[in-house]
Amino acid sequence: MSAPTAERAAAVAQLRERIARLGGAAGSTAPRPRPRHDPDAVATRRAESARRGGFEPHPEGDGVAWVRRVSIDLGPFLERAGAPGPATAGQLIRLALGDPGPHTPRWDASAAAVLDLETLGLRGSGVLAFLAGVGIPRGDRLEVDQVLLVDPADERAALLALLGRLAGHRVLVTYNGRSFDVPALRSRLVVNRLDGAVLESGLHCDVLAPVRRLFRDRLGACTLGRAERDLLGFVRHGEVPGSEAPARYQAWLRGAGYEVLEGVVIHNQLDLCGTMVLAARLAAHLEGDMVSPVHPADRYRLAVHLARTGIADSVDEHLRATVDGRRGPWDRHAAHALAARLRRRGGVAEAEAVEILAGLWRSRPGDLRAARALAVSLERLRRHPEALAVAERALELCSRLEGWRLAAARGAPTGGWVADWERRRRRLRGRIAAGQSPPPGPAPGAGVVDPAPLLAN
Amino acid sequence: MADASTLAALSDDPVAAALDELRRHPSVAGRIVHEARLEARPARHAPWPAALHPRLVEALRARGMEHAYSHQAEAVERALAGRDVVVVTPTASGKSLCYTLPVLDAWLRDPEARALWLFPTKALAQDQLSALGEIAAHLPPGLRAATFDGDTPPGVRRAVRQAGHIVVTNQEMLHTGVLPHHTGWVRLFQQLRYVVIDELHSYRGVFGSHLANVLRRLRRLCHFYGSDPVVIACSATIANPRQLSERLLERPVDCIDESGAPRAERRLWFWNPPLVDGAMGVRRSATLEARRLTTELLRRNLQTLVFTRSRGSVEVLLTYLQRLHPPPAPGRPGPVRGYRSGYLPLERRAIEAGLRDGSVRAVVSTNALELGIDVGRLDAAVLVGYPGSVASTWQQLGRAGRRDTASLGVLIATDSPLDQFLVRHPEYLLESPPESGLIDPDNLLVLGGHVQAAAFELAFDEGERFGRADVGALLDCLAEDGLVHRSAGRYLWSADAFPAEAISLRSACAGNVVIIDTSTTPDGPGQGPHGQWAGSSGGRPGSHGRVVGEVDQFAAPVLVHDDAVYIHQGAQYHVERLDWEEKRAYVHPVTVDHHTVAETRMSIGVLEIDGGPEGAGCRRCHGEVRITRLAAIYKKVRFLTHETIGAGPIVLPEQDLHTSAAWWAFDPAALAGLDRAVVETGLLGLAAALHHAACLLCMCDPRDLGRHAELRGAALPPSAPAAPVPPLAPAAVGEPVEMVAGWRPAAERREGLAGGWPTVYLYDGVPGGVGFAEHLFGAHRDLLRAAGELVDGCGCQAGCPSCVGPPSASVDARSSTRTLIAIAARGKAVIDEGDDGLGEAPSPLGASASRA
Repeated sequence: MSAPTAERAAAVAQLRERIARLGGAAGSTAPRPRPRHDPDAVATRRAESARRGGFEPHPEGDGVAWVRRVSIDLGPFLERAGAPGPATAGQLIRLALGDPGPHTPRWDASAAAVLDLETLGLRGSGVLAFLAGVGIPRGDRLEVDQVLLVDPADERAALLALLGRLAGHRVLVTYNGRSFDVPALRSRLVVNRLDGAVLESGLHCDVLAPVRRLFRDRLGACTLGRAERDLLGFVRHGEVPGSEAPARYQAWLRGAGYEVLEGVVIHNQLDLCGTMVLAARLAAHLEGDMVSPVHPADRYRLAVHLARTGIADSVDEHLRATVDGRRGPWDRHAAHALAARLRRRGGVAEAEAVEILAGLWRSRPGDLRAARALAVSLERLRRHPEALAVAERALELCSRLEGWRLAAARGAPTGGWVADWERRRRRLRGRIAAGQSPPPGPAPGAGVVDPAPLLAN
Repeated sequence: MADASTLAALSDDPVAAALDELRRHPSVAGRIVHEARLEARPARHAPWPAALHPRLVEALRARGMEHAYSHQAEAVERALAGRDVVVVTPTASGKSLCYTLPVLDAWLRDPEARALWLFPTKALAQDQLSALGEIAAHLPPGLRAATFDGDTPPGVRRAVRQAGHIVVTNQEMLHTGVLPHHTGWVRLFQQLRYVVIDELHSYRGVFGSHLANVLRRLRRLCHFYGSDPVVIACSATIANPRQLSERLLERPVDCIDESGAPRAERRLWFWNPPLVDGAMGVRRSATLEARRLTTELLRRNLQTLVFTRSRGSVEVLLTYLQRLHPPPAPGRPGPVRGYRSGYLPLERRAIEAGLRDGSVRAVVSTNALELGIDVGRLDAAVLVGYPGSVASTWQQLGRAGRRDTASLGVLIATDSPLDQFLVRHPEYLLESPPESGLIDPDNLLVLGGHVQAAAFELAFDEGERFGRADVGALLDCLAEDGLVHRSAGRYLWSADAFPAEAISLRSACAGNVVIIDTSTTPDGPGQGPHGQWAGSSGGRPGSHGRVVGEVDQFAAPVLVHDDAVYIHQGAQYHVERLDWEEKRAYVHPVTVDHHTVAETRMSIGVLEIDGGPEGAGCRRCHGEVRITRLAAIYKKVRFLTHETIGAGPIVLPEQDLHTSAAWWAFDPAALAGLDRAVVETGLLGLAAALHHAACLLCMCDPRDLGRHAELRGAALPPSAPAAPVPPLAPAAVGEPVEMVAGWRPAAERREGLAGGWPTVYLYDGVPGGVGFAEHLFGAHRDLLRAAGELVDGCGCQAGCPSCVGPPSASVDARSSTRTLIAIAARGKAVIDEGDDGLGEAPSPLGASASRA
């Protein structure tokens, strides 16, 4: 790289003057003090300071990739977080995709690789990833390789180094990687004409997704930092917030010392560790060793997550516990979910669902969703008079509700509430008139619903 | 191939008969100052090109199109041969087939082929997409065409990125939504065969300069992904379609401008409302005239489209017409409807359908209906006022014109100078189009922003050109600023920013002042479903206002100073406060009987001469200038009477505009013998007349071009870039006598013409300029001729706002302007019999006078 010739400098100066005369170019940032150092000297200084931070040059393709290798013992962190050990590949798959059933691969933990990028900017194809960390679990340790862009011109070499480290690992672990790290990396691979098949070939476990599903009620914004603090009990030291990273890298690029960048490197390293520990803790959480203290929403969210990912074992148990906990609004959510599960099973279980739904409706008559499920179940159980009583009571309620309240009632059927209830009432009356109801006597779950208290009020 | 049936139909054409009868009507006859008849023209057919996919030809035949029109066949053939094409034919001549067919051909041959269509508006994109669907219905299934714009939901966006064969979008979305995210569009870029640019003529000035750079970025990415798409552009009639498209694309372009579409007889009436005040040149309102004419047309059952120039006047005229033609029942849609932005899309679709099926008999519209939205063919188009460009005029007139019956186009002139000029000189409309679309892709401010965006998209190699522009110094500059990192012969984007977002395609500089309506009226004027909202980013706590518009930094002190009455699309707004630091003006709608005119002090310093001086007696040049302007006071001016009813101070910093200008400097020797007052009034008149004529020639809005006249202007020829402009103390302003807004400051008078030469400037309103000045310098003769005709043709006695401005107490403004035009044209004040000074080279007398 040659220093700009005098001619070049003069052209730039002239251009600057013209831009200034025109009142400043659109989109340009305010002129900032420019270090007038020789670019070659700055590059040499950067290389030296990278070495001081533990980065070593490795030839890669036509260029050089600067890699820092550290091995971190996750044991104390796992213990502190209450995780029995690092997450196995099977657990990670369970966390990301649900129950793999009998086809659980017998990969060991090192089949996973955790990835985290530090970038300049957040969107668009031109966002440069200046620091990429990859961690491979080996026993309780995490073997971390961090690739730093000491010279942005060596981006291709850095990407090759990164791809080499990800290759062969069949589970990619990230935090928010699905919408950020992986697309950003893919963009840079395309721009550098590199094959991104490695990113697509394995399974991707984005830990953000289960964190959001399980803990959004207590965390609010589910950032990694907040999840570490509230779920693992960690507080970070010696790093800088991610938002400062771009400015620090730019300063370093223009000749600032390594101390400017050090916090960013540590931040990246902690992100890798935090993600892995969090994954291990979540795996234990799914298996019933819940993160303590248990938040009232946790059992309900866990049940929903387990049901959705096809792990049915303890769903009912968690839902019942939430209902019994009597902490709104999750107890009602859980009651609805439990009733829905019981209704699906039919028979005696559906009779229990009727009891739950009747309780839900009794405690909140505006809950037409509960009323509808109740009426459907009663009709299925051939308890037509009771179902008719529900329909009549619901119609009466509809006539008393203001229009907007009715429109806002959750779970409205297509065609609207009133039409739905009227149709149901007509049908039930028909059935009763046709004598389709069973003769008075014990029917499955009979006597559970007494329409009288429903009609009172 | 005049087919007999068409001619037979014409001979007993009911529309022609009705028009003949109307033409003789007493309330009509006296107002038509000129009638032109464009003869019927039969279709010129050609077979579908042999290279076209047979399935496609089948589909066309299934839709009843046995042959192509000649221009369609030619355009398709060239596009299929890989040539870039621009098609310049009238409205409704079947232009969209010219690009639809090559695109579908490519898809039929290779289902992976992709195309990108650019339309200037979202509504047009939707309309073209449904037209495409009609042809695609006859083709094998599987064609995926979708719009990609601000309204596209995120889920659909993903699908369009992955699998859209035809992506229909607009330049803004391409600029911020596609190009900077190109790695998400790999398939599109790899397989891109065609880029379609419709309504090419709308990309002129700054907007076109931006588009040229967006296309440079697009090409760069295509090159990276290994594609080289053919560009097919369509344009309304302008003077330089080939030049404009070659400047936009930076490649040779085939220009097809012979339409093969048939046309029945068309009549054009130039309608001048009668004078109300002869001395002041005030005429009867064009809106009232339009009401009268439209009523007569409706009485004869002629389906009519009325174009007005603002959304406000749409509603006024609509109210008048609906009173005369009420709906069948209250609340039901009547036969007369309005159409403008701000109407809901469904409402608009219903009106378009009503026009097509004939249930709607008249529509009053803004230029929203001008662009190619399909409303079928109508009997009459009435233009209330000149729409601002000849191309727009033809687009709007072209809305009328059926295949087998005659049609009518009417231009009703308002009081404005351009309107009055055009009704007196219909040849400007009827003869070869005088307007040129001008752009300057290398305007430094425009280029600078796009180079950043391009560097963000892909690293620049050292020595790489951006289109035709050499951007080495610019990249070095960005590298110094830390926006890109230069090493190993490459420039990599290394800033934490998304540069495309900082570039507004509608302006050159970033510092526009945003005008925010602070009232919360839900249906204030211009409120549209796609309106922008300033939201919580509003400068004032709790102020949630609608963004009315933007003005550039240079115009803001004049238009939106504190207490100004700002007129936007016909609606009046009172400016509560101009926050100069935040670049926001807070306004609320008002209805008052006055508007405000700011008085500014201005001086122009010539920095560099790029062309000239040429001519003798009057020397003309073009080059770079610096304009320094200070808005000092404003006047409240009552409408119609134009009397001043109040005034106030403006406290704002001085403004600098660095731009290009063309100027005419008069040698004092050539002015010898003329009274000082004559020269002064003449300069003002010349500036006004040149300005009006230049707007015609450059196809620009009068606000895009500034004018200025100085008694002590440029001392010519300056040997070096001029001395710095003196500070703006009132005494040092150099006796400016005319500002943009057409008023006269109380500048101190001096005897004699010492100092510089009396000079008239026309300058580009955009920082850096977009090429108007150079064009005007080159088109000097046409410009002076048009200005001369404007002055000669005015019906006033000694000058009026429609031509050269009002006369002063003692001087005839028209004759003094005419004198200066003569000097500018031929270097002497005396006009010989039969010689307007424009046909020949300057006479020896003029030359010697200037040497003296």
